[in-house]
Amino acid sequence: MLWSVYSLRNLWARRVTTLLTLSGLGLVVFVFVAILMLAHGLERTMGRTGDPSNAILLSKGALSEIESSLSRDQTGVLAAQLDVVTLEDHQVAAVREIALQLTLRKQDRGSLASLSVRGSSPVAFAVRPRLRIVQGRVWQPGTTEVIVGSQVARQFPEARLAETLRFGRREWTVVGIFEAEGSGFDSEVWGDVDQMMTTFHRTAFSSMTLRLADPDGLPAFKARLEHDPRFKVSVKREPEYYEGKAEGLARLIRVTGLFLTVVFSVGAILGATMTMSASVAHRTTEIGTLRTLGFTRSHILQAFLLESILLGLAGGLLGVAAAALLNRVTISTVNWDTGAELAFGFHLTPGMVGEGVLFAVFMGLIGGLVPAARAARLEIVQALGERTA
Amino acid sequence: MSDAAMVDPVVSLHNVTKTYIRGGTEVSVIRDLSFVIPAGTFLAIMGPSGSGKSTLLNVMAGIDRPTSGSVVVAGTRLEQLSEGEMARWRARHIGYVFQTYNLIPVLTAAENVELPLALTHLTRRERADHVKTALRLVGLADRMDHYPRQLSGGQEQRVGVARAIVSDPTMILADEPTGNLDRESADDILTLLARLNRELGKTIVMVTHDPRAAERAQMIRHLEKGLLEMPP
Ligand SMILES: Nc1ncnc2c1ncn2[C@@H]1O[C@H](COP(=O)(O)OP(=O)(O)OP(=O)(O)O)[C@@H](O)[C@H]1O
Ligand SMILES: [Mg+2]
Repeated sequence: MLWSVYSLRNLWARRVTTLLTLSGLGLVVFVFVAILMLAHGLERTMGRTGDPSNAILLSKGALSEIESSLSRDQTGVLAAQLDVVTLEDHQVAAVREIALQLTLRKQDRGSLASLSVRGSSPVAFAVRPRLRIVQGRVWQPGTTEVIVGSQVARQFPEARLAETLRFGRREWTVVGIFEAEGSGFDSEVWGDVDQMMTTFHRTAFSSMTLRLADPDGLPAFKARLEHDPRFKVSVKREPEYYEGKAEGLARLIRVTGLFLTVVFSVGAILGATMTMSASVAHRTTEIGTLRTLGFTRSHILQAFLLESILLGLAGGLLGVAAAALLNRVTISTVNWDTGAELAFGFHLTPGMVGEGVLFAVFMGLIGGLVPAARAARLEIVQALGERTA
Repeated sequence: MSDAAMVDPVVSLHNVTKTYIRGGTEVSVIRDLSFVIPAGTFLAIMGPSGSGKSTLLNVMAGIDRPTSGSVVVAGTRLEQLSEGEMARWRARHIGYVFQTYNLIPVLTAAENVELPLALTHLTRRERADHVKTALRLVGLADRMDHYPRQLSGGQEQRVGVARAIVSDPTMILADEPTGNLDRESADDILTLLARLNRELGKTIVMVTHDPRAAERAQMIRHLEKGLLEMPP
């Protein structure tokens, strides 16, 4: 009790230095937590893309839709599988799509931005029932009408109802805005698949997404199709496909972030060490006094470690509090795999709060180790002899 | 010295020597010193600067170890104690008063006095009672919550004395306790020490330069080049 009062008051007595050290520790924790939040936000966004009842078919060996190519003949046979849901209008719940990455000039600032475009057909809304048109309507098949995801609508001023987007040397009229529950589809522009194929001289589809009557039957379905010599396809559950696409970027964010954090933390730890060393040097006589009163070397070690741990704790709380301000802030970035612009948010979890604070405490502890050990090693008579008074 | 006191000494030193190596040569600070201090004595140790007074006091306080010889204080042979045991022994038996007071600046007067009690098993309430009693004894009951910087030198040293007696140690050791004080404050401290000796029967060993301070003790010993000289 008296011991922690003692540590806290000493930190307060040197409050300017304490505050500087705190900011250093806090900054590192801020960066650390912000990066975890970012990577997590990305995974959340991508993990929400797609429906677990759906299977996405790509050509064998393709890691993403961009690399994949499925011929018209193949897709016809593939869509006729009995596992696929049949809709009320006797249509099969299967959508053949092409995925494109385009670069276009934003109208407002003239800056170049990258855009994901999907050629699809209205049955896509039956295959992905969680998608909703929030403004306007779906495009008319066979026309150059398009609908835009809510994030595209936010980022491109020209992506508004009745406005036109220019790509592929054609003009595309925006007739609707759709929402996909914060998933990656929100960052896409959708239009008629045949128009897009003509415009971009494509003869093959990128993917086909099927709604399965029995979602649990996916492994069997996958095994059957992948081993059928007539097709050269790979089958994945739709959310798993999108999560996989996020994995690379999320890992890159984490690795870069952790590298940065480690570099910064060396600085913060050195800062804590310097602060604590100055404190020990300043309080040498005090240490001799405490030892004379009967406190042991281990008491001295504890007192200084407690002080640096408290320093770390306060820095950690500061950093986490600052990072919490980022919670739900949405940023837009380029998806590494596809080059498309993708919007996702910082997302704080209780686990990250714990990890951030623990990390700061750890930095404080490491930073305090050497000075505290030096304080504990002092001989009483020598310590008392160094009169600072 | 009475016979009873001879039978029950608080301190007894046998052939104590303390040497330092300085510039390649051995320098003896204390040479083959043997003496006893009977319980209940108020002893003043005088001597020129560098004669080894502080070294001697620190050896008795168990914060320094002699090069050779045996030191028995409060019935314990100090050379047999490990460092940890020595710390516990100090907490139990020694109250130390410093020339520069050495109060902890971030703690209040009451907290400074309470510090040695943190090493005991007393309850919070008992600790508070002891602190109050000690501060009352030194006449600073009304300054409990003041920080050292808010006190005069004399008051700081009185807090220092309160800290030295709060755990009711066997012996009080003071290294020039009045060295930094003006005449009046010095007299207060000396009166206080004399009272602790007389009324509570505390054994006190005080190192001092000041003959007027030494006169307040029952007994004066002079240390010359590491050798105690009997008063004439
Ligand atoms: N760690 C050390 N190393 C070398 N010499 C030391 C050491 N500590 C003390 N001495 C020497 O031992 C001698 C006695 O020191 P001590 O402090 O006991 O003297 P003192 O009588 O208390 O002097 P003062 O009246 O100035 O306080 C001095 O000459 C001092 O320089
Ligand atoms: Mg001295």
